[in-house]
Amino acid sequence: MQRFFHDELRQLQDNLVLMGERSIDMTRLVMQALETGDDKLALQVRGMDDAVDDLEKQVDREIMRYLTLFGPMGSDVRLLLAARDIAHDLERIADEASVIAKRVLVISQRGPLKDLLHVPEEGRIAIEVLRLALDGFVEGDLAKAKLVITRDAEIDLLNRKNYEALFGRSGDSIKVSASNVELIFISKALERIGDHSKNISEQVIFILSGEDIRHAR
Amino acid sequence: MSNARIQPRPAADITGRPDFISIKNFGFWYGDKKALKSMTLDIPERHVVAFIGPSGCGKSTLLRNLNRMNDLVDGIRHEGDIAIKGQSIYDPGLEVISLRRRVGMVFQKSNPFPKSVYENVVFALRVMGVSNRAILDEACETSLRKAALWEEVKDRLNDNALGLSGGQMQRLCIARAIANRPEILLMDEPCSALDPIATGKIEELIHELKTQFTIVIVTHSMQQAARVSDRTAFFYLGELIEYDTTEKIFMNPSQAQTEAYISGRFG
Repeated sequence: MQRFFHDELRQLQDNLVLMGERSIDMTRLVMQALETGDDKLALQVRGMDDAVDDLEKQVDREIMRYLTLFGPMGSDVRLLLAARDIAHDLERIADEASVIAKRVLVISQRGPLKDLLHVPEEGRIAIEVLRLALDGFVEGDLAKAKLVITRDAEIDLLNRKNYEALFGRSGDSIKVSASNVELIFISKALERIGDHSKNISEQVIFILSGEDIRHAR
Repeated sequence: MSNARIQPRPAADITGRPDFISIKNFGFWYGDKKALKSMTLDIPERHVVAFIGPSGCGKSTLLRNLNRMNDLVDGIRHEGDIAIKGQSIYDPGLEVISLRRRVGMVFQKSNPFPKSVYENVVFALRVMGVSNRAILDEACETSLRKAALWEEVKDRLNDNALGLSGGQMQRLCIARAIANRPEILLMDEPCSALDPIATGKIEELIHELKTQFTIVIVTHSMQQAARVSDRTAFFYLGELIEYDTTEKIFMNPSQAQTEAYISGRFG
């Protein structure tokens, strides 16, 4: 039997998806800003963060309301518990995109960088992985959720390559420009976006199977 | 996809009259025993208001005063007033019968008459002298549809109502109350004798009916109050402890006694 309050659960899921889409948009636009040196675009991304923050608070309110009023059980409980973590990860992704935008503006002030290292590729994969994580949630697709965890390693590898390209394998060899340092921070932010996508997928796996695979050893 | 899809809690959005039922400084005695201490609360139009509290707290007493059912008890008296749309229910010019027509009641135990499904629904209309078959047929179908029972009984309207399941009998009683075209429905533990599926159907029905009726429900189930009501009143020892939106009462009540009761730390 479909109950009237199940609509609220669907609305909550819709809001999570909306947060996800906005986070993807922000990441995509900020990478475009980096690659094209488009300051206006970077500023636009900075301005998009508040809406995601507001959505996180709204999702939290909806979770608390549903838990309190509608006595959820089974997969609904798992969904609500996971939704809180997913919303937090999506908010952090939007924060990382906003931080990247700030660093793009700093780089732009110092003049364009000729070599962006592996950062554009890292960005493309980070967006693909985030999309995969979100699709896994929307479609309830366990295979997609598991694939995110595998593909996150690709981002980690590129981040390490970026670091080694500038600092050498031992980390103390080469003199780098201030803009290169900003680029390394951008690479690290993309690596964090990958980690958040992985966290989201772990929650999707929890929703779908009840299995808690966090902190697997 | 847009943020605008998230609708505010209906309780926060009073479109009808906010003081549809106005209870002012109302106190009530059974003989020497004061069952209700002076209390004041307004019940908004087309909302569901739940009365909760432990046994003997006065919630059913207040409910039964809303259509003066307690008048049938010897030795009762009251102070203060209850008004519906601004008119006191104790107005000497108001006939109690007409009050009870406007304020229907559904009891804890379903109480269909030992008659056909059809005759149960149209019973009040017949008492009022309506005999036109077309009018009765229309009232029967409309009421059963509103009570979400039509599809289940449309082919056995002439069967004895006592042959229905418990959940169906309770919905039949709701249909019977609706047929009288009341403005207010009082429900006293309407699901306490029903299984979870029948309870779910009644709760869905309550959610539907509030678009047309103002509903006051007494329930021992806090989960039910949380699910179906827009506002909740918590009573203890004949006193109204707290009355607020259901969301506020169950998520962040103002009174320590309410918090203790809803979290199971009472007593």
